[in-house]
Parts: sequence; structure tokens; C-alpha cells
Amino acid sequence: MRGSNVLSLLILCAVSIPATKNVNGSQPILQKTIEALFSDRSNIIYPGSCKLFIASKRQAKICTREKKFFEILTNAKKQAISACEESFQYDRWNCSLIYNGKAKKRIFNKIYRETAFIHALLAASLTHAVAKACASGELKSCSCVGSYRKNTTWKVNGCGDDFKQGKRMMKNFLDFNHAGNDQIAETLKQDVMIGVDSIGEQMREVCKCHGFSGSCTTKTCWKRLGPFNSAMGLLKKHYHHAVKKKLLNYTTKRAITPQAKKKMKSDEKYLVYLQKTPNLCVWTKGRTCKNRHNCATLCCGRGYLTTKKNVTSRCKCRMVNCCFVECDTCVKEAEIFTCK
Amino acid sequence: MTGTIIENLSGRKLAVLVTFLLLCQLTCFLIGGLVAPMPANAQMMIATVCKDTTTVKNDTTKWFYNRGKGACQNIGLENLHHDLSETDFVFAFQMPLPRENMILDYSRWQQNLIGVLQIDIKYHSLMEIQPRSVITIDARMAYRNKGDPEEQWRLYTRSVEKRNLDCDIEIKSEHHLYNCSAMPLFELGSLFHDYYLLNIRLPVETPDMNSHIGHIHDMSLIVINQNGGFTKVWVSLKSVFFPSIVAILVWFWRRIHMLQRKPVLLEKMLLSLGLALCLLNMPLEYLTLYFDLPFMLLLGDIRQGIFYSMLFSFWLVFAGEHMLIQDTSTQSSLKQYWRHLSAVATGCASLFIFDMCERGMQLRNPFYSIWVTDIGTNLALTFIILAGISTGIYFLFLCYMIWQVFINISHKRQSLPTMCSVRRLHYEGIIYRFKFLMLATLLCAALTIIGFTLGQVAEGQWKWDENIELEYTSAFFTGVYGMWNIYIFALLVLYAPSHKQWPAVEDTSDTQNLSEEIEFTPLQERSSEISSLTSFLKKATID
Repeated sequence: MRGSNVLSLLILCAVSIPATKNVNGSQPILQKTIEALFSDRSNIIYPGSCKLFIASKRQAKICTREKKFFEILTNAKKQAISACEESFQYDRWNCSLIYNGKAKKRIFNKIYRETAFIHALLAASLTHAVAKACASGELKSCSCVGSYRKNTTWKVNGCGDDFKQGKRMMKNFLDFNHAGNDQIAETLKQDVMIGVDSIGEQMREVCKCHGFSGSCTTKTCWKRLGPFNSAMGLLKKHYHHAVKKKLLNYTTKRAITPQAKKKMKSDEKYLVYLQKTPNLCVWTKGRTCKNRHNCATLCCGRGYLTTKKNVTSRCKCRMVNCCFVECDTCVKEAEIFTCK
Repeated sequence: MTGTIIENLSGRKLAVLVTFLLLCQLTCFLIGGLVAPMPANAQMMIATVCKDTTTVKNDTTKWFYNRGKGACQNIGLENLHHDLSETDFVFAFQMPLPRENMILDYSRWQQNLIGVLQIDIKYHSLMEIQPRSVITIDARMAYRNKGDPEEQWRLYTRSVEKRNLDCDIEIKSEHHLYNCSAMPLFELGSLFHDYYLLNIRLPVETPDMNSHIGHIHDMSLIVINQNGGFTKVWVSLKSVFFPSIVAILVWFWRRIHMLQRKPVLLEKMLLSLGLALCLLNMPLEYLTLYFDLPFMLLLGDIRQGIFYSMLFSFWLVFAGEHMLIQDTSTQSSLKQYWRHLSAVATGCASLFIFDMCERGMQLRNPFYSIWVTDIGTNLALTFIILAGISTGIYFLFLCYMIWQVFINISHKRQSLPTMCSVRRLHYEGIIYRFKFLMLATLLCAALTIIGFTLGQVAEGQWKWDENIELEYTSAFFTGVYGMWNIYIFALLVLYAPSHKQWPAVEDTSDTQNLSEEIEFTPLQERSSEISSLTSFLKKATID
């Protein structure tokens, strides 16, 4: 057991050295990072400061400077994947990395609807996690962006909100500005921004009056960062309303023409993808569906089996202390629908 | 016979003065808009959950914080072990947060610190929050200064407080969070120390305590402090206004004392209004840079209250003194206005009592809030409603009086064509200037009211992304503040007694003037102590 661990570590080291050099090669860091974060469902820890994936020089620098960044990255990744798996539980694509169980059909091979969604999802999750880390004081390099005048200190002008800091750090980490300007890069950049905006959109404004005698002569407002779940709802809507664009040329890294860029502007508020998702119906056999309506969609009209099963669930919950829920286990008979 | 300066001032001089004052007003507005940042800054911080394994929880020398030497580990509320009890949790907030790789500290220029607590509660189908739930919070505040060792936190204040939970939820499903309204937690009137630390515990001393508050997911604190840049601009404005108002007051009072007569009521009112403004203008904020003065918030309220009540009383007396209701032989005094002024007094008194109950109590306990208990809420509402009613009554009185003045003036105006030309021109000028000043007052009042209501109405319309919007708030503050200073400055200048013999002012070469002067002699004998406008009006009534 120990031997195999050492061996795998050695192999990893050997692989990572040339791989680090490779990062700056063909694919932009944006694409590579998101793919690495989403693909990594195991708990492999890479050597190096970012530890989750093979980082670029810039990323490695961020991870070394900010000791907690690795944790934030892990949290963002976990948060995104678990939210994805939960909300796509009863969808044809269940947040898997590959289509129809075929290892060759990776969702990152081309820019599918799912690929576009994952870019938005991870960007959103990363923004959210960084904003939270800024607010909890874990990250020290959060800046005061958003305070409107340059060259002044926090004491004079105050500080902007954490969402803007999260957005800035996410862009910086994904090397957003150097992602390129070919069609794929422009598409992915738009998808990333959709993700970030869905975090911004679900923020709610709260105000406090503190003027003369506590009246509203002076009022200060701030935006409250909501839970990631509510942004997930928005993202899923975006997934369903995504727009397909005609692929111009996959291989060249040429910048897109101004006309094409102008055309993209019209769909600014939508997720954009370039390739049609393969038919996923072949792989839904044996999947559990929720109800009659959902089963019709998920099972692609093949019908479903209804089985009765005893399900244990938590019940009669009560608050034991401030922060614990203690529940009994109840056994209930439930119907389970499985696709034929 | 002496009149006031406004009656004797030529149109050109008046125009120059008004232009100058308008320029000052514009400067005030622009200073706020271009130099000052937004008045206050809000910073959100998420709690670090620390584990307190000590058996004695009352120890106020033990502090939990998440940065620096001796920091605690964030245990998080998601994956907890059941062997921990509720009293083992401490929610720690260390202020201010680090930014740009620097450990920040509070500056005394930032004046005050207001804390608002936001509790995130996770929905649990079998444990919904009951309506009107009360949460009990054991809050402890500590401070530390620059140069102190990182673990040396000193107790600032401690209190066990109750707050009402006001939560609702849209989608009732697991993992979703309640939408709970933010609850005001503390108000510090002075920001004297460099670092602050807040430790929150949720005690369960009785079985009912903190048992119906659902599943706490997270806690965050929003701290609001005045921006240092805004304080600097504000204090500089005060430092300019204070000496100028003092100087003009001295000049005003000297001019009155040069007269043979005793000062009339209007002049006394003007003087006290000037004094109230001086009190408001006094740049006491400088003292907070050297001393710990937690009462500054309360003092600021009291200073503003005194100023506004003086201003309101002045308007009443100003309108009343031009109404000709009183007997000409008696010196008018404040006693005549007791009915009108009692409205002002009631309003001020109830606001003062409310402020003492809220901010006064906060001097002893920064976590105190009158709105928590039902009795407190009712009491506070009573005083606020009482203040509102008295303001309403006051404005009814004021409008009625002003209406009467205008009726009087227009009535007297009808008799103007019967007078000869120079005299008529003169009176028309006086009436015009009186109306001009009335208009200025109305304009200032309207602007202030707009400013007052704008803060209330603008809820939800605040554009966060556009920074110009934020600058505008500061500009509005400095603009309104400058406006009242300039208004009172103008009143003091224009209503100071003139030293010129007024018939000579218009045109000395005009021989007609001398003959006109004779016509006034009986009038001057009868009432030599009052300004010529009121005497003119009085003469008309006698006629």
C-alpha cells in the first residue's frame, strides 16, 4: 500500500515537470484550469502550491502568496460539483465528465452546451468562494476595488464590496485577459461572465439608517452575498436557454472578425456553445427519475419501472443545541421510478 | 430712524451679495461632490466559528479571533461532531479585515462604528422557525491598539441581548436558506482604538432560550463607519463656517448695541439662532482625535436638535412680527408666541427623550436597543409619532401666519397708488425684499425637506455600481449644511440695523425725498423702535 503511494507520487512528479511547461502551450489557462478543476473528482493532491491541478506560473504565484488559496479553490470546486450533481440529478446529463459513458466523449473535447455551463458554473463558484473568503478575512490580498478614487487609502475612502473582489481575483486567477480572442476564447469568456453575473444578480441590497436620531438622513447600503444555491437556480436556467453559435473554424487561433464580435453582442445575456450535444438517451437506462413528468423526459419515452422500496429517512428532528439537529430514523415505503 | 440693512441696501449691492452667497453655496456643493468620498462605508465580515472548550464561559479574558498569534481554528458549522455543546461555539469577528496584503487598523477620523448582524438559517422541514422567535446573544467586545501584543485583547463591553428574528423563506426545501432581516447589534459613538473584536455566543441557560431559532448556517456582521475623507471635509467646512458665523454675530451684536434702543424680539431671535448655529458648527470632532468621546453621536443629535428648533421658532417669530396682530405700544415678547412655540417644544422634547432612550442608553451599553422589547417599541413609536404630530401642527401654524402676512401686504398694497411716487417706490422695494427673503426661506426649507425625504424614498433606488451616485450623497450633505449656514449668514447681515438715515439712501440729490421725509415724522414718533417695514404696515392699520 505504502509502496504504491510512493510510486504514484514519483510518477506524478515525473509527469508534472514537463506538464508545467506544457500549460502555456496550446490551450489558454482559462480553459485548462476549469477543465482541471471540474475533472478532478478524486482527492488527488498534486505537488506544488495550488495542489489541485498543474498550475501555470501566475497561478502558482497566487497560491504561494496566499496560503489559504488552495483551500478556497478546493471549496469552490466542491461547491460547484455538488451543486451541479444535485440540480442535474434528474436530467439527461447528470453532471458527468463524459457523455454516454464513453471515455473518448469528454465534455471538454469541444464547446458543448455542458462545457459552456461548466465554465459559467466554476467561474461563479470561484467568485463566490473568493468573495466569502475576503469577507471572512482568510484572504489578505483582497483589494479595495470599487472605492471610486485611485491613490487613496481605505481610511479615507472606504472599501468596495466583496463581490467585485471575487470577480477580480477569479479573472486574475483564470488569466481572463489573456485567454485569447479567437472564437472559442470569446465564447468561453462570455460564458464565464454569465456565471459571474448570476452571482451578482442574486445579491440583495440591505440598508441601515444611521442619521440624526437614527433616522434615514444618512443611509448606508450594502449588497448581501446570497447562498450559492440561489445562483445555481439562475445558472440552470441559463443552461436551458443557451444559444448555439455556428462554428467558424476550430483549429485556427485567429481573432474573430469585428462583425462576428458584433453578432455575439446580441446574445450577450445567454450562455453560448458551439457544438451540439450528442444524443444522451442511450445512456439513461437504469437512471432514477422523480415523477411521471420527469420520467417521460429522462427515459426518452421508453417507459419506466416502478418499484417499492423501504427508504430510511430522518424524521422528528429537533434542535439539540444551537447548531445541531438531532433526528430519528424512520422507515417509509416509497415508490422508485427507474428508466427502462 | 434706522431700518435694517435689507431695506436700505441698493439693488446692485443686494445682487452682488446674493451672487457671492450663491457662489459660496455652489462651492460647498462641489466640495462635497468632488473632494469628499461617500459619507459612510459598510464592510461585511463572515464569522469564524471557534471552539471554546473551557468550562468557565464567563471568563472575559479569553478571546477568540481568527488572525494573528493565538488565532483559533475555524471549525465550520457543516461538519460538526456531536460531542460539542452549543456553549462551545464562539462566533468571532475581527475588525477591520485585512486588505491588499496589509493588516488594517481603524483611524480616529472614522468617527464611529455601527454593527449589524445577519444570521443565515438553513431550512429544515421539521424545524421551521416559529414566528416572532427571539434570539439571545451573549456579545462581548474587545479592543487592541497598535503595538500591543497580538493576543492582548482587552474587554470593551459585554452584554447579553435579545433580538427578534424576522425570517421568511421562498422555496421551502432543505439546504435553502431563510431570508432573515438584518438586526442592528451595536453602535459605538467613538472609534478610539485600532482593532476591535466581537465574540458572540448563543447561551442556553433556560430550556426555552435559543431553542426555536432553527439551524444556524452562518453569521455575518456588517460594520459601518464614517469615511475618514468625509470627516476631513466635514470638519474643514466646520472650521471655515464657525469663525465666520462668530465674526458676523459679533458684528451684528455690536451694531445693535450702538443703537439707543433695546434690541427687539426679532433681533434677539436672530442672535440666538446664530448662537445655535455656532454650537452646531463648533468643530468638536478634532477632540475625538485625542480623547475617547463615546457621546459624540448623542451630542451631534442634540446640537442638530437645538439648531433646528431655533430655526423653526425663528420662522414663527419672523412671520408673527410682520403680522400686526399685536398692540403697537407694547414690546413684543416670546410670551405672545407660546402657543405656536409649544408645538416646537413638544416635538423637540419627545425627540430628545427618544434619543436619550436609544443613544443615551447606548453610552452605557453599546448593544442596547429600544426596539427589542414591546414596551420599548411602543414607547419609541409614541415619542416619534408625538414629534411628527407637533411638526405637523407647527407647519399648519406657520403656513397660516405666512398666509396672513401676505394678505396684509397685498391689502396694504392696494393703498399704494394713492401715495406719491418716491414713497411708493420705496415701499414697493421693501415689500419686494421681504418677499424675496420669504422666497429664499421657502427655497431652503424645501431643499432640506427634499433632502430629508430623499433619504427615505431612495430606498431600493440606490445605484451601487455608479460611483457618481455616491458622490452625490456627500455633495447633498455638504450642500444642505452650507445652505443653512449661508442662509443664516445672510439673515444676520441683512437684518442687522442700518446706520444710514433711510430717506437719504435712495438718492440724496432728489429733493423730493426731503419733502417725503416729513410725511413720516408722526409715524416715527409713534414707533421708533421697530424696523420701517413693520412700522409702515402698522401705520396703515392705524389709518
